[in-house]
Order: sequence, then C-alpha cells, then structure tokens
Amino acid sequence: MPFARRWAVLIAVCLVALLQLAQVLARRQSSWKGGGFGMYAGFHPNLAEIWAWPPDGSEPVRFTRSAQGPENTSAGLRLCTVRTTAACLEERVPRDGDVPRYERLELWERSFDLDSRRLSRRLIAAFPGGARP
Amino acid sequence: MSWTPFLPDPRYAARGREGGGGVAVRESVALAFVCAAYVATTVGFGDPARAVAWVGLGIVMFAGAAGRGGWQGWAVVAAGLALGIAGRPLAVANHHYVLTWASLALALALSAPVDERRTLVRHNARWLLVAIMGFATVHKLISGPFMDGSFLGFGIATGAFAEPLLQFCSSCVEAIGRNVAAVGEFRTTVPEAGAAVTLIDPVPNLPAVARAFGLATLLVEAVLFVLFLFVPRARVTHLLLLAFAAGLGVIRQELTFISVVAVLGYMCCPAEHARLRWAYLAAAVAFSGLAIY
Repeated sequence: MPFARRWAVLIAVCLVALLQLAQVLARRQSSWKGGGFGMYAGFHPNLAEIWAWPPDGSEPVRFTRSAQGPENTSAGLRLCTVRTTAACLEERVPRDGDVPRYERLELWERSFDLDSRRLSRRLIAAFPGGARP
Repeated sequence: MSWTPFLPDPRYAARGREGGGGVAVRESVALAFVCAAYVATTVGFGDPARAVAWVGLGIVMFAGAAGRGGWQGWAVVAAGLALGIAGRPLAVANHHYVLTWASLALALALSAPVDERRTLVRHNARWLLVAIMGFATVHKLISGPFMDGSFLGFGIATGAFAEPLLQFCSSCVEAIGRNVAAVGEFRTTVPEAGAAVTLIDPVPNLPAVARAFGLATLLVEAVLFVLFLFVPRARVTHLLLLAFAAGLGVIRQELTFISVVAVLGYMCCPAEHARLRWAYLAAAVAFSGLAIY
C-alpha cells in the first residue's frame, strides 16, 4: 500500500489546518474560516461591523452582509471581517479610480461580558489610523 | 495500539465479514449524496453557467460512484471542490474543506488494488475525524470568548444556541426576542468605545449554563479526538460520535456539517458494527435531506 494513499490526505489536512491556526494566532484571523476547524470557537465574522465615513461629512454608513445594505459594494470588504487587519481595509476600500471613496473605515467586533450581560463593541482595525474625521 | 488498525483483520476475514477488501461502493454513494446535498444547498443556481458546471460535476460524481470503484470521478469532485477553495479560501465553510478531503481520500482508495480499498477508506476517514476533533479542541482552548463562556452565553441569549430546545419555553422565547431586538437596534448605532446594551437571561443563571455547556462541548470533542486516535474500531467511539451528531442537531442545526460528520463516521465504522453503520447512514441522509428542505 503506497505511502501516499495512506497519509497524503492527513498530511494535506494538517498542513492547511496548521497554516490557518498560525494565521489565527499571529494575525487575528477569524478561527471560523480557512479550513482549520475552528468553528464555534468565537464570534462569527458575520457579526463584525465595518463602518465608513464619507468625505462629504455626512453620516457614517455601515457595510452589511446583505446586498440591500447601505452599500452594495460590501462583498469585497466582507473579507476584512475574517482577515481583521487595517491592511485589508486599505486594500479593499471602495475607490473611484485611485481615490478612496471614504475618508475612514473602521472594523468593530463584538464583546460580551457574561457576568454583567453587557454587549459592547471593540475597535480592532481602522484605515487610516488616527482619530475619526 | 496501532496507527493502521483497519489493516485486514484475519478474524473477520476468515468469517467473510471484513478484511480490507471490497470496492467501497456504499461509501462512495453515501459521500456522493452528501456532496450533492451540499452543492444543492450552497451553490447558487441563479447563474446558469455555474449551475450547468455544478450539475455536470454531480453527474460525473454519481457516475464515478456507480462505476464501482472508478477513482477518476472522485478525483474530479475533489479537484472541483479544491478549485472552490482556491478561489475563496476564506469564504467557504469548513465542511467544504472536509468534503474535499473525503473526496480525495475516496479517489486515492479507489485507485488502490481491490483488496485494499475499504481498508484505505476507513483509515483515511478515521484520520480525518482525528484531525477535525483535534483542531476543533485546540481552537476552543486558545479562544478567550469560548473559554470564558461569553461566546456561548451570547449565543444562548440571542437564540443562536439551543433554540430548538428553548422554543418550548414561552418565557425563554420572549426573552430571546427582546434580546434580538435590542442587539438589532444596537447594531444600527455608530459604534463608540464604552457604548453597550444589556441583555436579559432567557434561562436562569446564564453564566453557569454557558460555562457548563462550553465545558461539555470541549470535553466531548477532546474525548472523540482521543477515541478516534487510539480505539477507532470500538463501539463506544462510534456511539459517542453519533451522540455528538444528534446533539448538534438539537443545539445548533448545522445540518450539512452534521451530515458530513455522519458520512465520515459511516466510512470509518467497521463492518462488525452493522447497526451503527445503518445509524450513520440514516443520520447522513436525514440531515442532508433536512438541509435541502
């Protein structure tokens, strides 16, 4: 029985899962995604929120998972709820040509205090850094 | 302990019950059904080109299964699923990955000589289950929100967990409804550090319930990891996996994932546990059917 038939699948599974685990530990990637079997270990990325500040000073908009949300271009940015970095926001901010369509993007995740039952949100990435406009 | 406990066992081979032989047709058909259910429930058929591609893939898949051991069908399925991963590795679900690995395992097994095929199917399914339970346990152990109970507590408070059980308690349903409304309103406000909303308990002593629930989940997954690692042929191993699948069904209805776990259990379960194999098959078909429904 050749070695590959017996162990190729296990080796492939472990390589992918270890790579995903490293991303979770080193880059705060969501444990839910990436083939590492970390589902139900933490809040689902769909619960994270991305808010955007338009340059005209109007009210910030919330990017939603649904295409019916305030922005229909949310699909690309949704990846940033899994890859939770400012670099992801910078890379995927909607643009008109080379110009970002928003002055600022913020990614917030949920935080629930079990003893007080208080649900709050925590800022985990922003592009650009610094204070809100 | 053996790392390859599914190598032909002379005791069963002598009675004509097991051995490593067989062409693994039943395993192929079971996995084909779960794969087809996954495709039907996941892939949008709004795009005609995509629909044609996936239906074509399904036909190849079933032809491979019906062809009594043609490995090419499963190689095509594994390649198709792998392409889906390559295109969106951080978007597809974990059961998409598992189905890819299971398809690859079947393709490799069916490419082996006939007398080794069933052995290889069981061997690979067993190690897939070891990996799934092992990594799932590690992720939970390193997760702050899981270990402190806040993730499960929030899930119970908003009906994401145990809703099939709590729906029979009217006060619980009412509390969950109020929490969901509060969370929905909170989400529409511009986030500020320190802003919070307080949820109410749908069950008495929510923190204790959530922490006990989390501990039980962690224990079951860790025990399944140990059992599949050391005693994959034992009846207790398969009884616990079936109980885990059934428990998932009433706690969190991840129907496709449950059917994938059931079909892996079926592929791994030795012939001496005929009733358990039927139970796995029934679970895989039932949960896949529910997912489609």
